Amino acid sequence: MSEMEGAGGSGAGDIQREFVSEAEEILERLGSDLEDLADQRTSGGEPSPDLVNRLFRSAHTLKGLAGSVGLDAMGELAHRLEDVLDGLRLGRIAIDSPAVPLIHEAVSLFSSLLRELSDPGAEATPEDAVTTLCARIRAALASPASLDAETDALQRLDLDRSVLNALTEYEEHRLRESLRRGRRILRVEASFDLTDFESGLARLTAGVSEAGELLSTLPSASPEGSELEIRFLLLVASDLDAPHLAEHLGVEAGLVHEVGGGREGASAAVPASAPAPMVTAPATPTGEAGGAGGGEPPGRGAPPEDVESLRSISATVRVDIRKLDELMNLVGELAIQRGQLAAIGARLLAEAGTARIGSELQKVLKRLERKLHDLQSGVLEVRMVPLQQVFEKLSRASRRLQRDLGKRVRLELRGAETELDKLIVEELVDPLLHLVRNAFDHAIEPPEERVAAGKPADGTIRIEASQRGNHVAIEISDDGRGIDPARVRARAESAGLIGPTDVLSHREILDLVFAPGLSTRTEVTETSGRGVGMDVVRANVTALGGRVEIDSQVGRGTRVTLTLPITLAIIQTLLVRIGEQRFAIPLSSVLETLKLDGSHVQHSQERELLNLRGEPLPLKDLASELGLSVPRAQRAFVVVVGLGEARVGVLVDKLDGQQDAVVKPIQGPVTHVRGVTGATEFGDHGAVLVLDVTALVEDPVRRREAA
Amino acid sequence: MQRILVVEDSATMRSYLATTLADLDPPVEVREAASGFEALRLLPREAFDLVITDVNMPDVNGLELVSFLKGSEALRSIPLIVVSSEGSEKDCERGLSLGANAYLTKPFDPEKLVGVVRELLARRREETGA
Repeated sequence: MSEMEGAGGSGAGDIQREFVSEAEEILERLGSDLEDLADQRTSGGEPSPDLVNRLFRSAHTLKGLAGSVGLDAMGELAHRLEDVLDGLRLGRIAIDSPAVPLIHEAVSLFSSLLRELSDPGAEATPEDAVTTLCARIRAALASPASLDAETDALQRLDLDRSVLNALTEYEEHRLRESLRRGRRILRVEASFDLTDFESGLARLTAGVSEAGELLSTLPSASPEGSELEIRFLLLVASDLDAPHLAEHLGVEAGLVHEVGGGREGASAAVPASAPAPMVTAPATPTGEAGGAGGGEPPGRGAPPEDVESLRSISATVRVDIRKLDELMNLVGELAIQRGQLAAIGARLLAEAGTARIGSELQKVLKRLERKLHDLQSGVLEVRMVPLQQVFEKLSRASRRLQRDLGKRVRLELRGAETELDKLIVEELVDPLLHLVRNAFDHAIEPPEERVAAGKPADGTIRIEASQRGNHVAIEISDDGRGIDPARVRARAESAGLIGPTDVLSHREILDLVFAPGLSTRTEVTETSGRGVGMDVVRANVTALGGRVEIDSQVGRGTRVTLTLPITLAIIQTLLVRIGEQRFAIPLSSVLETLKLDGSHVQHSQERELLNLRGEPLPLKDLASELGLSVPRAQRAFVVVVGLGEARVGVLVDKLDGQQDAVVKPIQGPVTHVRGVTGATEFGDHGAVLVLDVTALVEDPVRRREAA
Repeated sequence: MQRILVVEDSATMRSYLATTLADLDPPVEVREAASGFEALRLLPREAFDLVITDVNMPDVNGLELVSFLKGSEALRSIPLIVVSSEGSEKDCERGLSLGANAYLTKPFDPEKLVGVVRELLARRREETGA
């Protein structure tokens, strides 16, 4: 019963506080989106539909939020704001409508009201401000230019009714609009593994955005009823026909169908008009490239200044992250105590005389466990911050570099909303800055050289973050000169890192750029020094439990991928046993577990390889890695672990189930053991070592370097 | 305990819904998904007795989610409530025509929400015999 009281007590005040902080975030986003909108208008282009829709969604959310916490005036104001943006996104009003400038006024008034709400001492807004502005907006919207006479256009499409029914009003408008512009409407089918559909789908939709506009993403269960698979039907508007779109997306031609649209009667050879504008993160300096060298572009639209000053008003507290670590440790310890209680409960339950008490205790424990879990996720959530701030730093650095180096580079940032543990985000700033500087300095060629090579004069550096399960991947790619493997190899040989007869794959050679002291460029530059640094980048990322991979093609560009865990504080682990010893492997890196079948193991030089569905998988015996003397014959299972693109099979005796673990650094005389990241405690068996997957998957080349 | 999945991209709305649903008797377990993608991952793996979804979300929207559920043999029977803001009634009506059981427009009366949820859960209990 006390539980119910607890849940009810935190009610209204909390929700209002949450409202203020979420509303602030939304206003910040609105502000920066409005700046982008102003930029797009200045450059004479049409506003990007994605941008307008995002603006609409922000207003829409504000309205719902304000209404739900009973703030009627703010709700009304947000509602009018939404009306304008809705009209804009559905094409009911034009961008030069008299209602559009009122957007800024509405946002700024909303900010003032919000400030009043969180700070009673703030200057009061005139009482009739909201009603007046709302009336002005209504009046400005009163002269609608009606559109949409082609209701039947949709009926002519070769599409199942069920697909059309699942379109929102907005999606339907975009479909109509695309038809009106004579674009082809295509259907793309794709199916993915349920556990990992997001990355596959993200790749596909990125490809779609390059070739046109993604209108809708309709998921469906696989027809065979397989629970492991999910299918998507993408509705796409593009100037490409079905075979070309399939080719562009790299999918089988049979999966792409044209369902209508297109310029009837027009020649197929008509060159495609400009593809849909690229969606970039709000902080992106895209579009500034033209003004490079001229310092800060003056007067970008008219962003409401009030939005800026909102930062300070929220009822938030700054907390030292170490305090959160302590809290996390406490949660871990509570979990251990709970484990001990559970053991007592099990004993009580087993005895006839105490079984009833035991079962009552178990009920209480169930609830305790739930609350503990909530507490844990609460603390974790507090630690998470979006990459936005880092991205802003990168765009500032990029502007400075453009000015200093006189190179023109577009910096594209995507996935700024991706969240990571605060600690990791802070540690990422330096490596990312370094990679961006490197790209500016070494990769992007001077404009003359680029033009001579048939590339656009302006270089492009793209940074894209996305969540992949328990990891976040950040890709930094450029369209510069690429890395010449022959030169890397020559440098590595003269530095004595490899012998002239060593056989290395393309990937292994590129990987050498992370070796300490290796630089392929001889001159020293102001910006990135002497090529010192790639080794530091790798060291920093590895220390965070992450991985760095590089891929490059001469003349085409370079892509560096950082794969990082979302948090360092708590991990789910798979418990394994070797002899009597137990180890924990971070579950985020476990791809699968198999029973060891000796007939599939091959020996090659000093390596053992398992034939896993036709692919060779290097095996590692944990016992010999860690120097345990447990007979090899006891190994019965393979745990396949992977990080980035590297895979390795770890041989263990037994699998002991899953456990959440709060990882603590090892204290005492032994502080660093290769292959172990730290220790954790579980209720029933004291300390358990947590294995370092990064070290396990390291390839032999790197090992030789380290030796 | 019956389980409800709340799909909503606003954290405030999620906690508002969860707090409101905490008043239900018998108590229910509320799972939250912050996006359509997250919901797609959870739905086939965990058993739910009710899904409450927002319509306007990035990635996969609420209507697409309804269509997904109704197209799946295993998930078709889970009752559904679609939620959207005032002014988007058309989208909500589309949700109903796709097979959702009810729709609510934000801001909504907590009692109304609880009432609809209670009714759908009771019906669900009868159907599943739980």
